[in-house]
Amino acid sequence: MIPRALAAAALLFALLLGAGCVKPYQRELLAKPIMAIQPDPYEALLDQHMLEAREAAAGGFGSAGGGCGCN
Amino acid sequence: MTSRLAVPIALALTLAALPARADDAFVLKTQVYADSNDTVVVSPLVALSRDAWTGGTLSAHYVADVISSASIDVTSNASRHMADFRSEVAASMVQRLRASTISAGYTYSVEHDYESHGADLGFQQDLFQRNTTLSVGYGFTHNNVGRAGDRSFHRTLDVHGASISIAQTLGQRMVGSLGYTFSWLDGYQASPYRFVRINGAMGDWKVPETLPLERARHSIVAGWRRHLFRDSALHIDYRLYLDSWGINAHTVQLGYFVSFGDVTLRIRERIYYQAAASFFRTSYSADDLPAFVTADKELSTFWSSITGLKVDWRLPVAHRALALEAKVDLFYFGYIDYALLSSRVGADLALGLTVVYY
Repeated sequence: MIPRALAAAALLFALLLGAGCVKPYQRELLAKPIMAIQPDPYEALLDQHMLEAREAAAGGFGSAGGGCGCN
Repeated sequence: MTSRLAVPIALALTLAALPARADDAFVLKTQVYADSNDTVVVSPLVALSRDAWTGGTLSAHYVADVISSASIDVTSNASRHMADFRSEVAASMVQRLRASTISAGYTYSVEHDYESHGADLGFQQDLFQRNTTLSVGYGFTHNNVGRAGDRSFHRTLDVHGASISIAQTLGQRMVGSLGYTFSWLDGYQASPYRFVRINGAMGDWKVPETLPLERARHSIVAGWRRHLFRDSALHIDYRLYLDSWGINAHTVQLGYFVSFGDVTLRIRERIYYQAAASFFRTSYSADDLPAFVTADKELSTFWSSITGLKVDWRLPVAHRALALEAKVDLFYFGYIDYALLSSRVGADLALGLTVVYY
């Protein structure tokens, strides 16, 4: 399953690469804070730390600091 | 511990003492987690970010976890209650060079029975007239695991992590991202306090939790942001997680942001599902005992839902922007094959203050 998922992700990478051609003066909406990939990194830090202590999955959404706070 | 905390704290104080410059930021947040499993965690955070030189930014943060718990994990191991305090300090540097950005960071965290050192490096490159951003990163964490009341107990855990991601404009109103993270864990990953009940013909007994010493983890994340009517945006994220313990997990996050002048509202929903580790059993029998045994509900099959509302209020004042925020997340965890707990509900509350100079 891992190689297939990675192959699908690589294909999507290739399709995405250079897909949009938006001029700098056309990026007014893209530059808004609500369009950021991660609008609040410190909130994400606190959320990920809470979730990584309560779920087996980790990674991808930013990583929390070490230590488990639950040992 | 005090001496190890001294360097990042000294850096934070130095950053704070410098005169404010454009894009400098100060962040103060407190998050409170409380659930029906008798656990409360209060997490205050303070962060500083300074525009230190041309293209260079220095950042530092401190976050603590004040933990009080009488959860099933605690009470099933002959303790009535546990309290702990965890501190984390981190410092990082970012340097922008035309279309490239390099970053480096160090994180130290400590609690009474756990200590962690982490370092990370990152490189980011803008391509195709900044329509594409490619990022790669590597991090290493060394953890020392102890056990309260047993000074002879010492285990280590090393974690290597590597990531690659791409963010791509998909039109004047749309941006997408795709990322892959691999991490390799080598060392002690069980809880030194957790014991597992074994059912035998002559009666039951308990053995220490035993988990594999190695673990490979894979995460693939896809994200999509779409600006909509009025001043609003839809965020959709999906994560596929797979690891060498047989766990696979799916995470879907939906967020809707809408701005009314200086006020921004966010509504979000997060759904998570994971399948249990291959060696997890609801109960273990002495007749059919696997090499690894666990009583960790985080390795069982379960799903969860988080629903939340957040409000940000930006107040422009002289040469700075002041932002206040409040957040409420309500969550539900449903355990499908864990014998000691079927569900838990709770809330995550947060208040925050951010000051950005311009």
